[in-house]
Amino acid sequence: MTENDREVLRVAGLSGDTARWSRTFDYLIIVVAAFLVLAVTYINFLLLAGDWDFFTDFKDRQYWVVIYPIVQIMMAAAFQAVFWTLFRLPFGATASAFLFGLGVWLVRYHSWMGMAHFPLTLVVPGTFMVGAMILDGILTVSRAWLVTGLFGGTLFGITFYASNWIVFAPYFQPVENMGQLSSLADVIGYVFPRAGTPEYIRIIERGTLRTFSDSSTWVSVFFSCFICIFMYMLWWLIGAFACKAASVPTGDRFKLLFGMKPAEATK
Amino acid sequence: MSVQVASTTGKDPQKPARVFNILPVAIAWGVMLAFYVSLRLYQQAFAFKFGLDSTSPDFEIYWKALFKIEVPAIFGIGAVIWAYLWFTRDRRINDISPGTELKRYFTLIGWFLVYTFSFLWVANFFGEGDATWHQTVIRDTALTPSHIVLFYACIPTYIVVGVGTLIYATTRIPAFAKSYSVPLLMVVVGPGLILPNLGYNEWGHAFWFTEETFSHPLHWGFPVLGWTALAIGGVLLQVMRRVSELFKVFTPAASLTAK
Repeated sequence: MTENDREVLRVAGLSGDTARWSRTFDYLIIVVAAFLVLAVTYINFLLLAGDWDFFTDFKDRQYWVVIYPIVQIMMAAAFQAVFWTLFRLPFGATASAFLFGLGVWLVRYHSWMGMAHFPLTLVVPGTFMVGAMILDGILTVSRAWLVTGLFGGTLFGITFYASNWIVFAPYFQPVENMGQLSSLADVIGYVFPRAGTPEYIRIIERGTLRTFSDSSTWVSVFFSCFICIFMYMLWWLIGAFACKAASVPTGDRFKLLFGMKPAEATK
Repeated sequence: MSVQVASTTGKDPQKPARVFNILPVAIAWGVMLAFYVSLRLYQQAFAFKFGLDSTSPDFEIYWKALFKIEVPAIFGIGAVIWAYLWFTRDRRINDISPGTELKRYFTLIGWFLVYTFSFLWVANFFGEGDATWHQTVIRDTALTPSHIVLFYACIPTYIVVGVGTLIYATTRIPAFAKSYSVPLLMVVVGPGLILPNLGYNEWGHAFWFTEETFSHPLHWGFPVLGWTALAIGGVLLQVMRRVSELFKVFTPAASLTAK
């Protein structure tokens, strides 16, 4: 052990043994946190926005662009709050995005392709990694969740479509299919019909947004930015609330089950 | 991964003891992994082959039989684990040494390692696997091949582990016996309520064919109950506060002043 190590331990108030236990404890917490971040980010996304991300041909300019960032910023903000409040670690959003990415590729490969035999090109997932890194970057610099919500929330919404464009642009190229103009993603969808998703209930590009002189994507992006700001603030507060270590005293009869005298238990 | 305790206080036994033993966690992970992979392979082999028509004799043999076996088996194993934890509870919980208390906190984190691992398979792998099924196949029963795995094998499994975690904390660790930890209750009870929420889910699906919209309001109970797992932050805060105090018990004063 170097002199520097001893000084670190002295400042931390730990001996060599306790420092080792503390490090072991850290490793265990990291694994628990990783499982939890992935699980909660995923179940939140799956049942609030999953439909627009399952299929390439559902990734439209109206709903996908709006709903995906709004839903993903919820857990990004909540985990930022948990990591920042408890550990002063500014990577809650990035952890959420990275672990979500691992989980979503695992499922798309094993379930969509492995069990239902859809091609991966039909089920390529989106990502919010860029927006998450920007959120964490702004939190690191500003150390203020309000500032992060205002500027980070805006950039989270703006960067979503742009950062996914690299992956999905090839699928949005126009092709002629039986005399009709379609996108390549649409053609893949025509080849692999989904019995549970009949065409007439597809929730894509409804209304008259497309008549906004070719600006439908930007209208959706700015609406998404607007909601992301407030969604971030709400979920930061929920994440911070989740870190409250509240407890309610147990009753005397309950304490007796563990050999505690009621008066003793209040010490 | 194991760490040796060299006791420095008079209350602890002098012989070295482990603070944490990863082996039980590794065994639990291994058993769960084998169980989940087996279920996935079973789906691969028989889901589309015998799971499309719930009125067929093959469905009765390959899928309803699995349902009838797994539910009592998992909750039966759970009842044994819960009973063991309860009847072997510490009846002198206020008299435990700091070393024992520290070890029990590490064991509690071990329970969380198993609990979050089991929840992961529901929230991620088999959860979206269920979407795969419903976006592809029109349901004719609540007991689809994907539901029989997700709802009636994976969810009961994490309920067994979650309730076990709660009982372990309450029966072995003084702070959790003296007071109900609100975040711990949320972490265990919230996701556990996903199982009864299935009643609403299946009841709703009897009226509306909404599987093609996975994010339909009918399904919002699932993520809302999943959010309660965020409260693990509060549990960790409670654990870390006490563990930090216990670390100081084992830190000789000399090591804090020497330079």
